[in-house]
Amino acid sequence: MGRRVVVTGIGILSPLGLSAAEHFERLAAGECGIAPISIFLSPDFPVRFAGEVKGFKANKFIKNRKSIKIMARDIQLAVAAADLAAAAAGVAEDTVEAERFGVSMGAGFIPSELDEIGVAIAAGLDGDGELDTALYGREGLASLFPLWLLKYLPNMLNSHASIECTALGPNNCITCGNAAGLLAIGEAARVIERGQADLMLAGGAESKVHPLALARLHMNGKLSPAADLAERGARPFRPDRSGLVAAEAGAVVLLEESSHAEKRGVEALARVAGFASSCGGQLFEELETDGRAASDAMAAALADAQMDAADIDAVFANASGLAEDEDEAAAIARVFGEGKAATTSKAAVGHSMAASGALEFATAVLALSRGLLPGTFGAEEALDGPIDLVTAAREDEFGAFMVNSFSFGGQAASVVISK
Amino acid sequence: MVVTGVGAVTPMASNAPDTWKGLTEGRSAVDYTTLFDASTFPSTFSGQVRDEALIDRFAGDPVLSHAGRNVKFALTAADEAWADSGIAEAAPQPHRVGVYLGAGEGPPDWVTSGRIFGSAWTGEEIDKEKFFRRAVELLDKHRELFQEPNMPAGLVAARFNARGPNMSCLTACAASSQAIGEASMIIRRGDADVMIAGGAHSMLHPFGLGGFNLLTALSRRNDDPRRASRPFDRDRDGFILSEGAAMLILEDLDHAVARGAGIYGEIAGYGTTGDAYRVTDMHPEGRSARAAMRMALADAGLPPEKIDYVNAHGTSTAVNDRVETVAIKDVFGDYARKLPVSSIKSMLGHLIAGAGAMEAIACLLAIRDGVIPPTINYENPDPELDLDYVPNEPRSARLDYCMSNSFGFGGQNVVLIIARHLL
Repeated sequence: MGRRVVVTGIGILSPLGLSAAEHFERLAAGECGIAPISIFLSPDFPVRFAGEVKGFKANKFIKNRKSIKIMARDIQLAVAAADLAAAAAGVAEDTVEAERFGVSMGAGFIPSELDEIGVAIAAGLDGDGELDTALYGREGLASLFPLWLLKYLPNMLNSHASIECTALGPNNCITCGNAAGLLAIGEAARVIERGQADLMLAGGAESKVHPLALARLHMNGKLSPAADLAERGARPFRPDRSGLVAAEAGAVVLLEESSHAEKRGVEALARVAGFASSCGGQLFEELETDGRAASDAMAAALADAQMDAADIDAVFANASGLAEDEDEAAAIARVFGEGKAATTSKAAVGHSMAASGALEFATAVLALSRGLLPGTFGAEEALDGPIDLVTAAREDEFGAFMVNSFSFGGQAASVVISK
Repeated sequence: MVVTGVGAVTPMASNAPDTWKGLTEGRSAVDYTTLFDASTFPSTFSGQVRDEALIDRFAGDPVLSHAGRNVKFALTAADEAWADSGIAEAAPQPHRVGVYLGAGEGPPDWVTSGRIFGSAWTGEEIDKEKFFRRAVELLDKHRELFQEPNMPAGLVAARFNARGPNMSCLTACAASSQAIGEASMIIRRGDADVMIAGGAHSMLHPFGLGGFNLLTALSRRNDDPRRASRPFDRDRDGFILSEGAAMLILEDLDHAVARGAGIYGEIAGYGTTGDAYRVTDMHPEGRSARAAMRMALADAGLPPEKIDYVNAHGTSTAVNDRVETVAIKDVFGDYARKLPVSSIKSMLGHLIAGAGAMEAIACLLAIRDGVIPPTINYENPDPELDLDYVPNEPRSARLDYCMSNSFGFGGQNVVLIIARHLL
């Protein structure tokens, strides 16, 4: 193909900070962004912890302020992160060709703010407390503002981001569950590679800190009930893991064709060397990805990068504290042999679902460009097992990392970044 | 790359051939909504899939019985397309078969939601803790999981053991066109030999219908549903909310030829842009719609005059139909006067995420049969819109190249060039 794709800007809003630098520095310093959840206050509530983005005020990041009130939190995080990435890459409206500048965002299903829809539904309940749709149509709808639906559509992440950054090029919204953010980045790289754009804002955002989203996760047995999540983090890969910690984040990178970046005189932080996706292909009762899709995606990404297993210095893992973390460890061992270094930021920031793969990718790029591989928070000693879980930050001149992201629907994505 | 199988579930029929037959006969599939009592909504009618037997077919399945209508439509259409293609006999390598869908989220359990909200409502706000507890108590955990938008893509992959690239997107009205375009790129790159590409959606529930009504996007011709969808007509007043699914089997040409597959046509070009204008409105001159059309033509290596038919986005809203006309004229110049443009949304309504794939199928079948489906309900020309919209009657024509437009809410514009397969 000839066209190479590099990363020239990063924007992060995470439980560890409101900038890429803050997130990475605190992660590498061994801090934890998991804290008591702000939306449930009763002691001994079934969900007590979350990774929340603290102190985020959309109007401090988003230029298009009038639109903020019709942006759900997920959208605000996406647009703010896009702004940060574009600014970091020195992209302004007049410096790039708008039609060659696109957007690819990973998003999830965004539930309505409860008070908003609550007024409407309450007006539609009959004497027995049942939703009478005719009553809802007559009385309930009137309580909702006209643009209500647009506030929560997943494609509004990329719509608003494209308006904010004046990006008129290829535009997509990937809704692939937890793998969405990484898939959005992989697909954006393909768009540039095949010549339909020179720059792409790519990443994802999601906020699972919402009673309905949390109820769904809880009912499906995904959330950790541990009492010490804030001190010891979620515990990916470790034998005492008990589930994931729900979180929120916005993570967007600017991908750019390499000669375009050179001409603009901006530094390439990393190269997107390879990308692949796969699917479980088998319907398990809980629809979890099996280890095969994971190793298939990893092996295919490695092949796409035309690299060998030994070229990868570490894997930024999908693992989040669920039972299937061991499937990923086994899959890593199948592809790389035993003892490959692996780390994940999820121990410290929880699982931000559609954003998670993008956040892990952005973290990996920062690690590569700074020569500093963060440890997995809370991992005090080396694991017994097929991977070398990174416990404390390691400094080195790294050459390449792999980033994994898997969904509950069977999708598996893997990306290789290199210097 | 070529298309070797098609399948569809639409308000017209639960399969592609009968849907197509209805389209070529100029029939409307729009009628009063019966899925729930919508009599007080601003729009009381829709394009509802009326085949309850289809839904019941999944009732005994321990897993799929929990899934929403959208999933059932998706799997039924995928089954049809897969069988139609005959690909199973060729036993393709699982890792060379992928899935790319423009698939919507599943419909919510509004009955149970009512009970949950009712318990948690304090009179002024929702008690979040009570809400959580009641939700956990009352909701079906599998049904909730199945509402996630990536479930159709995962389930389709599982059904056909498709272990290759797997993606799902949701760019509103452009989603399944985008899925087809991106899937064709995956094959073009060599990352798969076969892609199941298409989409599915059902927003026919109080929150979906209500949400679109609040945007004043929907027609309110409640006294005459069958004549409500009238793209390009002077009296158009909004689109019709419909549901359904459409699936295509895309295949690498050599792979298809080697197994002697029947070929419907080719995905010859793909353009994708973003309006970056306003989330509520299209750019008044359709600047990015034009760019997407040009991009698709360039990708196909075609001058505009080679296009024999445009399958329009044609939603029947005041703005889209005007802007789309302006954009077509800009791209095609004088040739636009000779170019037939029609919208099958006049008959099916708007399948939202599923629309683009159904429209791609319509182009393929139009090429195969030499018939352009009409824009029905075209009774009063709008003086501003003066193209040939193939009014009311189907038209015989030899078609080699079709353009299919899909312009999503929020500004995503996707254009496909669909071509006759020339030996």
